[in-house]
Amino acid sequence: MTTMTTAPELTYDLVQLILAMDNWSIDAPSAADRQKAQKLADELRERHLRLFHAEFTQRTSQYKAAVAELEAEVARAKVVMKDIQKLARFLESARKVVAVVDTILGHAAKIGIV
Amino acid sequence: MNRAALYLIFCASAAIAACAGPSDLQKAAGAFSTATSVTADVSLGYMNNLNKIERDGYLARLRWNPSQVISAQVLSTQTFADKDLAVRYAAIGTLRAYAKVVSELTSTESAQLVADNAKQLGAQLQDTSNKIRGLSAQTRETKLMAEFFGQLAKLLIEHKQMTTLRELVSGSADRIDKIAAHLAIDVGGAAERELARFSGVRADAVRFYNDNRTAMSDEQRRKALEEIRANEERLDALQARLHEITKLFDEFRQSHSSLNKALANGSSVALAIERTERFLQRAMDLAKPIEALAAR
Repeated sequence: MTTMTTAPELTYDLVQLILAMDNWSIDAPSAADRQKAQKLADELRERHLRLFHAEFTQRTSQYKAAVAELEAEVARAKVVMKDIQKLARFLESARKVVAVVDTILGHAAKIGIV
Repeated sequence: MNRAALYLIFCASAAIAACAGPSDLQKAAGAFSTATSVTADVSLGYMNNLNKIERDGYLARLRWNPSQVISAQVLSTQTFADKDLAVRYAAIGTLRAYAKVVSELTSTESAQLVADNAKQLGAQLQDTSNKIRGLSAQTRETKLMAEFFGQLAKLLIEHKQMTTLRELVSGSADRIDKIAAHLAIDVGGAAERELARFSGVRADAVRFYNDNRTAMSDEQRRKALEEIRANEERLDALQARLHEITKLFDEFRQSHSSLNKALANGSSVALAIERTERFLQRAMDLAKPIEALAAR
């Protein structure tokens, strides 16, 4: 039975191969082998970039859909929080109005109206 | 008195209907908020530097290859397009906004503010009505009633917050998982790019030393070896970071899952105890103004 290798697994394995090839470009017994290993490591680096870049570009549309849906959920919850905050502010405003009325009544009491 | 008892029963029902207690949820929401903040910062850091990693890596290799000239085209090329990066920035921003609204919904601040304002409004109204001759006798219960309704409003607001939070978190679970999975791949890929680029630089430095060591002065050799030592340390750190990134995103997803479970699992013993304690506290808070009303 074979299992599909995912893109992240593939890029990870590719990096491990690059590290191994870079090491071989140092340790290979002949100068020719060291050069070959260096060239191969650079090619793998380029392939890793191309693979990651292609997947990165492809994922953009997948992000868009998930982000739009999450934004809609957040917006709905924000409306509820705003309504609750409005109620708190309304009571605060009411207190301010009462304070003004209180001041007026204080003056009215001084001159015997109330 | 019968009316007061009815109010108490109604409030008790509202308290029981509310899900997990705020402290339990606040813990899960706090952990999620921290996880979101760290995940967003790390993601943003890597996305901001994605093109820089490629350019810096290219320039670093030139140091060991004197025959190679600098290409202006390579320098000016944006490997990863702004439009693709912008989508990632939007995703990170939405995650932050989501964590903020979760935090607001688990906060009791607004509900408490309503209760406090209602209480103070009642006190003010009573004080004001006392200044008008003949009105004070009819409005002496104003203060107590306002306090009572403030407590009732607090319960109902918290219940509304819990309901909204439950809907938000369970409704967003799939989207959070998807965004986190995409970011994990992107950030992991960016960390891989950094490691792959640096591995080449590190190999260049060692090869240069091996090829030229006999022609170097003692001082040149000492400096070269010091650089190689620093490179090895950086390579180890970059490899460790790659594993940390995978763990970070796993933990982020787990923290959201815990929050979701805390909200969904209303039948657990711990939550039931907490809910009961919360209810009893509320019932006592409510009973005070009701008893005072009944005593008049």
